[in-house]
Amino acid sequence: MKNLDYAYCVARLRANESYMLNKAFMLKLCESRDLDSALSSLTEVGWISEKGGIKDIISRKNKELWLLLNECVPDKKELEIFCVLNDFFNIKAAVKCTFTGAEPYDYYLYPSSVSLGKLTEKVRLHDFSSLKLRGADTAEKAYRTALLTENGQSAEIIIDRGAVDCLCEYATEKKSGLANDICGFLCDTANIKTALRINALGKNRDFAEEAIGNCFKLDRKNLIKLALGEKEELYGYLSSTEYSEGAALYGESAALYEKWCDDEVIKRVFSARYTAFGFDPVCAFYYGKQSEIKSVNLILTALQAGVPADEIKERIRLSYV
Amino acid sequence: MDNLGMVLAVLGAAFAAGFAGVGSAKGVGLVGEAGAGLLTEKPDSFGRVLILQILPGTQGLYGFLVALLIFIKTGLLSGSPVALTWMQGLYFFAASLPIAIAGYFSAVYQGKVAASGVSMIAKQSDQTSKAMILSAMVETYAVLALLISFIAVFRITV
Repeated sequence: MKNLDYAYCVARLRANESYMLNKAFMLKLCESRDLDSALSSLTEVGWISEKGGIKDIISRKNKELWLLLNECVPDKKELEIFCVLNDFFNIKAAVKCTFTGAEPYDYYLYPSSVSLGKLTEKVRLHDFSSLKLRGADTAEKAYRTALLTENGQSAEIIIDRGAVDCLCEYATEKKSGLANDICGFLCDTANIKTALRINALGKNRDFAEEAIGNCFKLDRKNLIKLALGEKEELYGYLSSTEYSEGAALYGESAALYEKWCDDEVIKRVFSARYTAFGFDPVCAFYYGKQSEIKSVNLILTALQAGVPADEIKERIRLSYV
Repeated sequence: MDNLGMVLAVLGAAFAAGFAGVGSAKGVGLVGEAGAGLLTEKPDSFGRVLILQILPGTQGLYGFLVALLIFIKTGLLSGSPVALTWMQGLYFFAASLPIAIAGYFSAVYQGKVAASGVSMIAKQSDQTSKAMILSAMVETYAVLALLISFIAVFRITV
């Protein structure tokens, strides 16, 4: 697709950006008396159109976002890049539920690049070859491992590794600079998290080799070696990379690391606010909107649980607008 | 070979109207696409979008004017064409090139600027005048090319 083919799409998304919630509104929302008052504020600005529980509202917003992108992006295949993590998570849910007999629809994430009904059916029938999905091979491997070893954790590791490898694949093959950068970032930060966990839990080399996937800017062999060694050496290596701030935050808490990852993605997409055509503004809008939805979800859930405003403010994600 | 002069003059007119017209069609089309995107979300922005969409359309008009002038000068419009030497024909052809080339490229680039302007007013509707000025700057070079083509065609003696 040529960049100019995105003229309609970019103008439409820019118009939608003018309705996005800014930082000042988010901070005000954190200070709401209770959940009802926050919901009223969101209704007033038109963010919520129908009443419902937090889960329903968030799910509706995700569906609206996906629908909008599908309506205006000229090449729908470009959108698959946003579904990588959800697709692999859904594969995990489908494989697990096949063994436990639970209802996978309760766990599935939206959006997905493949019909969730089709995914459920194909995994149940063990028909992975006709599943037109990047993770089909991983799903088959995970299913067979779970069947042979009766070990759910091994299957999970295979699927998580598959997701990271898929991100790395996208990062190196995608033409758009921004999508490339973000996939690479997500791939590396997932590997860092795995490496830090392996280090903390004292796992062995086989586990590390299996769990740590291909890296974008990091040295995979070195990361595996250091994950199996001393904690200080691993942190020392990470502090010499562009992920040093995140690694230091992981030492404090995993939640802070997650927030750092989300905020870094938003910082990366800021440049696309001034790009007139092409896929980059789509990418920026998607991650910007995701960040907004995540923040609202966090605020509403925290207000429901009675968390103080100051604590909520610390956790809300960076706003795109 | 007797008509070579007239063939070259008509080719010049075709270049002026054709290239400038294609450029304008591309530019107007691009702004139209961007405008449709904005109007899907904010239908009340139609007036603002229309002004920006018109801007890249002027080059096509300039090309048409130069082509018309060539037709008048060569007598094609009145139905009694004058006899042109190949050198005179070549003059007409050369005179049409500024608006053909500058018209095509300026229309395409003006379209890009205007489409970006649509994205700008999608977020800040009070910035329409700025979007128009930015887009109108590209027009300068189409106007200069029109002047040169116009003077050149006008000065050819037949």
